[in-house]
Amino acid sequence: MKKNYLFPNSFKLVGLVIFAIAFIALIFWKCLENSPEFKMPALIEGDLLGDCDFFCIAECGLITFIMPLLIIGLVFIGFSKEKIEDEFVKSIREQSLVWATYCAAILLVIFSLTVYSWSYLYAMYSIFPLFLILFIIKFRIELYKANKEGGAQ
Amino acid sequence: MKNRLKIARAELNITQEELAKRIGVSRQTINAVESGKYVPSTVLALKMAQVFDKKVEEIFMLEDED
Repeated sequence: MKKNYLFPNSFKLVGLVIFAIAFIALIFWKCLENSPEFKMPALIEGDLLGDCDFFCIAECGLITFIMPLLIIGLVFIGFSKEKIEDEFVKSIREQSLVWATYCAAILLVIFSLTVYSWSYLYAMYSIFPLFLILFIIKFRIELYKANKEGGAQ
Repeated sequence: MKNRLKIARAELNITQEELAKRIGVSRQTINAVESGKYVPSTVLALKMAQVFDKKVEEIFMLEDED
């Protein structure tokens, strides 16, 4: 009953630092004309439904490391406990998650119908971080509103 | 569901902050319950009733639409 899967409150700061590093790295990667390439062990490389290799060494760019960092940072920010994590905060968190899921689903449908070629891959790549960002923004706004209403009493 | 939380609090002469501290929630939670924006869980309702030394039904009442 009391079990929840949230990180301790201190993880929020860790998440912010990781997110900041990843965000700066993302801008850096975008500005680079020739992004450095690395060799990484891969589960699959190539077209899964066509010609592909399993358990091989693949070449990858800087973005391969940036995206996991972005996601870890955002997960820590969004799913760390508040200083007082009570049932009201829990309900706001749940409502914000539902709202963000709907928004992400709408974006996914729009992207699927309107974005093609390599841009589609980028759009799909960005949908989960986008979902987390939407959730965090909504959650923070609702908490701010609750604080403001409470303060006015 | 309506509630008499504000009245009960006034009778006991305690602030939202004090009530929140006693039952281990935030002041915003007390405010949200008082204003009817949030319906507390059974555990929280029982804790509130305990602070005011009243039965839960004396603080929280069902409305026709409930």
